[in-house]
Amino acid sequence: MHFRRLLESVLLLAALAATALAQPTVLEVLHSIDDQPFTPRGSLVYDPTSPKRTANKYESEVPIPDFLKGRDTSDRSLLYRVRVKGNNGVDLSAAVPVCLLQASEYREQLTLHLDSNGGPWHMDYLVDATDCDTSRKLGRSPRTQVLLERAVDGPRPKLDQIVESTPDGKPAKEQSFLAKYWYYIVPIMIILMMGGGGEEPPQGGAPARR
Amino acid sequence: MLLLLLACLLCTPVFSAIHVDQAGATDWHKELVGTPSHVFYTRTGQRSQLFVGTERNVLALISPKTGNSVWRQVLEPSDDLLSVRLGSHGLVSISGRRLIHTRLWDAQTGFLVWDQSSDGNVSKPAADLTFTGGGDVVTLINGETVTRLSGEEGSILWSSKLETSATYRCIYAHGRVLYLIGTKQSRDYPEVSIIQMDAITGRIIEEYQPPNGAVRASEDIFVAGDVEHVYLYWNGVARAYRHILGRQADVEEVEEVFGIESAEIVTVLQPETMHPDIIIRAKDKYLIARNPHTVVHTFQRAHLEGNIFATAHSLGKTHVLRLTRGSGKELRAELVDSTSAKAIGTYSIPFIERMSGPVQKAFLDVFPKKDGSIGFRIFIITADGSTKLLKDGAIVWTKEEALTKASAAVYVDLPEKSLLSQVHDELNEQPEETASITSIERYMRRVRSHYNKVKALPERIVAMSKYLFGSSNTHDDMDLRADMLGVRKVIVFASKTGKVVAYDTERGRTVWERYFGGISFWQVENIRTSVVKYPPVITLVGNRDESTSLLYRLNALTGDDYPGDGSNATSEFGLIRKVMRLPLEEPEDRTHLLALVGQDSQVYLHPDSPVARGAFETFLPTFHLYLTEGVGSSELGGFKVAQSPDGNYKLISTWKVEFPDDEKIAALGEVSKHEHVASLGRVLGNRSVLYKYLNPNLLALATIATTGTGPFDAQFTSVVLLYLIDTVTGSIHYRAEFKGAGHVLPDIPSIHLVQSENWAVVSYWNHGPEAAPSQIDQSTIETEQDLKKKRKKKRKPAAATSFAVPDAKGFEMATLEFYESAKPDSRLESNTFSSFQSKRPHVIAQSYAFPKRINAMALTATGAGITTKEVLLGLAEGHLYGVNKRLLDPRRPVGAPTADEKEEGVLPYRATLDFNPKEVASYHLYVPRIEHVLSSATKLESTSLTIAWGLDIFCARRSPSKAFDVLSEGFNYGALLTTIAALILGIWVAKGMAQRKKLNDLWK
Repeated sequence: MHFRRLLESVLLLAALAATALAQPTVLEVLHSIDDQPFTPRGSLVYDPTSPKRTANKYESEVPIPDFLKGRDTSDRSLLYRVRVKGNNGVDLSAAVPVCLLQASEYREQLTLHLDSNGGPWHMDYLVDATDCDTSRKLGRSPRTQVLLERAVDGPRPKLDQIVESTPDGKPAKEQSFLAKYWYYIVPIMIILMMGGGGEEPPQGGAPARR
Repeated sequence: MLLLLLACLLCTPVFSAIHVDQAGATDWHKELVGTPSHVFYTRTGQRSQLFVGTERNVLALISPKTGNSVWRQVLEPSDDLLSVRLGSHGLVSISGRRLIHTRLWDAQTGFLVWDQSSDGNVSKPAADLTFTGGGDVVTLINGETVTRLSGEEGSILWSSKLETSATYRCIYAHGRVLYLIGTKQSRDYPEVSIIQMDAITGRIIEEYQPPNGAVRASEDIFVAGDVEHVYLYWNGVARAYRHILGRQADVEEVEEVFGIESAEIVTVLQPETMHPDIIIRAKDKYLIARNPHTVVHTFQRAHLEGNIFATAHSLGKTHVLRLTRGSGKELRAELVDSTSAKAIGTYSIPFIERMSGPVQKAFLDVFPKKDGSIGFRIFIITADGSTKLLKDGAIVWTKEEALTKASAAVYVDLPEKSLLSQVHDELNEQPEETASITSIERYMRRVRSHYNKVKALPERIVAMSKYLFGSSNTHDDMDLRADMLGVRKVIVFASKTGKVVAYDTERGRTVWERYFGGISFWQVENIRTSVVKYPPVITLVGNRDESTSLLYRLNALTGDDYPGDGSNATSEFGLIRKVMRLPLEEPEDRTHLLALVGQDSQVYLHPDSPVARGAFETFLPTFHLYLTEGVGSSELGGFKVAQSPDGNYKLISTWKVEFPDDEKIAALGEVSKHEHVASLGRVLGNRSVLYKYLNPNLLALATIATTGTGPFDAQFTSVVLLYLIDTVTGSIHYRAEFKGAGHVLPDIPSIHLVQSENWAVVSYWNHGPEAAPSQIDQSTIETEQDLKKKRKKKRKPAAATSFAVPDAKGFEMATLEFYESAKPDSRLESNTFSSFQSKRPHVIAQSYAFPKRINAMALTATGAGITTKEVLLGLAEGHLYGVNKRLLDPRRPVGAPTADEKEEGVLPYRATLDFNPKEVASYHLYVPRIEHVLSSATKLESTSLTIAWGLDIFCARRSPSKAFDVLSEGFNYGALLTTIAALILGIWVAKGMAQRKKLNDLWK
């Protein structure tokens, strides 16, 4: 058991060292419309080990408006397809309607989902628009956001939370007996003091009868 | 304010059980055992008993009088029942897969006497057993291990592993000798192979293959015997042969032995008791032949269909029964006393084959009647897998055991009483009809409607009073019209054996039943709800073989083909992968269109007409679908549909999710299409609102990734991943991993998922930290959000976000809620919602330990969705259990609740969901193996109709927020009526007084 833990620790350290030495990965980005063949669009750089969002970026070679120029995009069912390819066997694709992409003023979001080894296995491609209405242009500049997503830890039952706790996270101090029950004790004391005791019967004799 | 008050009222914690007199009043339970694979119909004097071992791994003693079980033992689903024999000590069973159990059960009580286990071989499931003269049990397990067990204690007396190339399936004891019968693979056909063993020591005496032993299959081998010899018969490739066991070279042709032509062995009578009689088919007749060489009786007319034989040994005689098919509406039974070779009689028994298919097996019981004549009962198993008991020319009882293999069910609302329906019909008028009707005709029609309403008023008052005084359930007549509360419906079950049964939900009575031979049903869709002119219609979807799917349209009230003339009632397609009910109607029939996705990536319409195509093509731009091979698959694909130049509809792939790290789909959740959402948001304690993320295309899905063979393997790790996937874009909005989570055992599915509105609940088994995979610690890789959190932490301590795997093996339920934003009062900045937009849902999650094993999970359903939902659990211990959604709230505060949380009424977090016996919907009833639970809304918003099935069928009503719209049973109607009467009287008196005063004032 100890040996297994030791081995796991060594492997973990090796993996961490490997990831620390890892260089940002460059992926080729291609695009197409509907069934047409993919053509180069730019490149995507991502670094699964970097905590900074800016470490993951897209570098454009062919702006989308240039790519769409001269094409008939009036058909609302036309799909703009994006494909990401890499030397490490990565080949992911996703699509959005062309009209939505145009309505978003080419503000797009590429999300790479990483597996347990930090390799991308799925891509989401979403845009900053909810309908194809291009009449309400806000004059925003095109933007390509690159995000990395890993599986988050699912919630587990907090079996150790049975310990009583307070909003500040510290257990409440145990109050003294008097502090806890003073509102019972005080009225009883007052009643006792107010009522006083009855006259004691004379010693050795029975109480007087009327 | 009023709404807030109502919401508070609904949210009040309600936990209510039922009173003794309420048990069975609004619920019903059908106890089933499964299709019998082993039957022992015994008689001792005046008492007959029916022992069965079934395909659903149940052992039971059935009462022949009622069909109810006297006792039943429900084994685990993975504990396959391989062999059962009835001996002098009781019922002995062999069952299991990886671990084989040989058990002795007390025949009268069903109590377990002893259990002996041994290692099993999944690739060799054959097992058999026999009894020695002293009552010991000799078992043959995996076709290779022979063990003698003490009949009284189950202890092993000896065990012998065969080292042979033959496969043995049967074992017989004859005196001191054991015979193992099997086959040995030869060049063309398998050949009969025999091992002779010493029953006392377990020593193999010899193994041999008799001459001419080539058979087509091991089912062609039969064993019969008498006191002196054991005879082995087999239908050889060309002829039938007989061999006396132990005499190696002694093989005779059956034709020569009995002096007949073209002999074919049909069956052996009572093979368990080594009876000497066998049934032989010879050209155009069947013979009862008795060893060594006598023909006892001849049944003529072998061409008759059916020819099922049964035998009974009682009253010191052996009787043989031959059942043949009559006209399709009757069975013909010929009874013969084979001991005295005398035909007793031929009887006709009414039997409608359309309902259950032909008889597959029959078991006979013969008994003396009071008048001295002979009576008989026949227990039959029909092609659909159900059982019936026939006596005195009638069916005494029927058990729909086929429904233990029911794969789908659908609720059908009954038509309203004609009065209301007439009004609906008027409102539902077609434009052409509106144009053609004159205003006088319309007026007359309305007058007629009102007249009918007035005429039916007394009946309505009677029905109302019956409901008020709780006597609505006492009538026995089946009224196929909707009731006041909407609890009377029809539920149609479709089974994998081709059986379709409709029950009324009020009392569980059979409305209709049908059998479709050779069809394995997997889906039922309600394609038309009922209006007076149109009966409700359902479509059944099933597979005939691996390349053909069939769709049947039936009238849901009668079970007849729809349309009645039979045209287009059945449609045949290539293999169908998915069937979807479209929100489009066929204008003529008012039936919903179905889209069928074929294995060939084509989409078909049903029914397919030019009008239907037109409607479908208008719908196409918004039609997205996803396909998966279901549980066990590792990918999910999204598609849209386009019309190809040849006019066909084809699938076009839009996205694909291939799960990483060897993940396999374990459970899929999907929001019900009939679900109603009552509120767009959740009101918090400070009066702000968290808006729900109500994306109809969101799919919750759970996958599992394991290493090693099982929990007992040192290399075993297991992790469950929960996904939220948008099925239009394939975007993954949430991915959470539950380390150490998985199935209890590989063959016990333990991951269940339900999804509704803006939330999902997943249940799984926690194997503990030792089963959590060790990998690169992702938590050490900080994201920008983590950095931001760290910065925030400096200002204010935040709650811990990492979750440790609990070191406690058990079931857990994780619950998730999705909101448009983490901030209250914040919404998506648009009037429209698009799956392609980059705004993702904010997910709040929490997890709870649950103390019972969960076999199935489902949700209640109500008309408007106002009532709090209840998560219904089928528990392994045989209960249907309800967990109120309030307990599964992910916003339950850990630690002391704040003032806002107290104001909101959320319960403080507790790590465990305690088992509350009051929430057991099936109260004391034992409802084992619940695999499916289906709910339907009633006309009462508080009440949901729920049916659970798997082995048994159990129907109950659930009111998760208590019956807030129904007056309690103890309500004092008398006081209410008296108060009303007093008020009316008071008003009348006061009115008179006021008038008098007014008049007097005027005179002044």
